[in-house]
Amino acid sequence: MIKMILSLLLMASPLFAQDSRLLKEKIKNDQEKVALAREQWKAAPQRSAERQALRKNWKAAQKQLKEDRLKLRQAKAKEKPKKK
Amino acid sequence: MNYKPLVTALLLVAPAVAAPLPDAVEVLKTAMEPPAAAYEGEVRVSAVKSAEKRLRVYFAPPQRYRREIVSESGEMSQLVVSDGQAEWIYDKKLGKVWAGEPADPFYKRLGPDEEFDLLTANYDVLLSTGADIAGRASWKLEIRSRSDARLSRSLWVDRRHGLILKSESFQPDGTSLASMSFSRISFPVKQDPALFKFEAPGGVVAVQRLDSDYMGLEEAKAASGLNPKVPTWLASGYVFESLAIIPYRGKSIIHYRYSDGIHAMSLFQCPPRVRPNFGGKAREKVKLASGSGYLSWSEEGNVLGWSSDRSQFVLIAPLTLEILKRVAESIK
Repeated sequence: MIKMILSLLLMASPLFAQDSRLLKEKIKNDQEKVALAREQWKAAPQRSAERQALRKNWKAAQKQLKEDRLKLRQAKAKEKPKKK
Repeated sequence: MNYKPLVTALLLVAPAVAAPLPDAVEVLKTAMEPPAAAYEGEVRVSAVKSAEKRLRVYFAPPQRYRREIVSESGEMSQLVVSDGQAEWIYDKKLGKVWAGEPADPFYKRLGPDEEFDLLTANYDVLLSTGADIAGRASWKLEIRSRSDARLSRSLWVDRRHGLILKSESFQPDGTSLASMSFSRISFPVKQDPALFKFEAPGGVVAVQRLDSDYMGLEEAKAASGLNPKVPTWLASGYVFESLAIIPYRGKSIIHYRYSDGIHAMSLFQCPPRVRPNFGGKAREKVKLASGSGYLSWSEEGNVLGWSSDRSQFVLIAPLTLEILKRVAESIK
C-alpha cells in the first residue's frame, strides 16, 4: 500500500513539472496578447464605443496573465518537496 | 534503571535550546506579499540629502490602503487612497487629484515571482534575530550581493504578520541611501471602510491618470515616435523589465525600467528641449565621453542627466557615478 502511494507521488511530481512548463509558455503567449490588445485599444478613435470595448479587451488579457501567473505559483509550490 | 531523573533533566534543558530560525528566503517572500492582516501605524521615511517624511498608513487585506503624508504639526499634505479597484492621489497644496487604477505587479512584463527569482539569483538573503521595532518582535534580513557580498538592504520583518517594519537601503560605498521605519503600529481586527474611500474636496476636479503600459522594447518606437536608444552595457545582475511612454507637453518621453530583483534603474529618453524635473537635488557638473552632464540625488539614488544625439537622457539608480557613466556611455 505504502509502495503504491510512493509510486503515485513519484509519478505526480513530473506531471506538476510539465504543468509549470506549459504555464510558462502560456504566460509568454498571454504577454503577447496583452501587448496586442493594448496596441489595438490605443489605435482606436478617441471616445468611441470601439475604444471602450478594446480597453475591456486589454484589461481581460491582463487578468488572464495574472491568473496564469498565480496558477504557475501554485504549480511550483506543488513541485517543491515539502520540508520536514 | 530509573529513567525519571534523565527525563526530568532533558525537560529542564529543552527550553534552553533555541527554536530553529525560519528560512530566510521564505521570510523575505512573505514580506514581499501584501500582509493577510489589517494594520495601521505611523512611518518615518528618509533619504539621502532629503528631509524626513512622516506618513500615517492604513491597510486592509487584500489590497485596500491609505497613506497620508503629514507635516510635523500633524496636518495632511498629500494622500494616496485605494479601495482595491481605484487609486486616488490628492495633493492638497496643488489642489489636484489624480485617479487611476492601482498598480498590479502581476501585469508587469516581469511578474512578482520572476522578479523574486532574479533577486535570489543576484543576492544572498541572511536571517538573524532582529531588534523590536515599534514594540514588535522582528526577524532581521540582510540582502547581500552575490558578486561582492556588499550589503544592499536590511529589512526587519514582523515575526507574526510578515510585514516589513523597517527597511534600510545602502549605496555602493556602504552609506545609507534611504530608510523607512514604523514608529507606531497596531493590527486592528476591523478597519473603518470609509478610510479607503475618497471624495474630492469641493472645487477640486479629479484628473484621470494614465494606466501603466509595461511595454516591450520592440514597441517603443511606434508608441513614442522617438528613435529608442538603449544601453548596451548594464551593471551586473540588471535586466530590462519594461518601458512606459509618458506624455509631456504634447511630446512623449520613454521611461525604460531595469531591475536586479530589488533595485530599479530608470532611464528617461526625452525629445530635444524637453527637460522634465525628476526631483533630483543639488546638481554638480560631471564629464562624460559625449560631453558634459550633471549629477544630482533623489530617493531612488544618483541622478545622471546629459544630452546626446538630439535627445535628453536622465538615468536614476542606486549605483555609483562610475557605473552610471558606463551605462550612459554605452547607450546606442
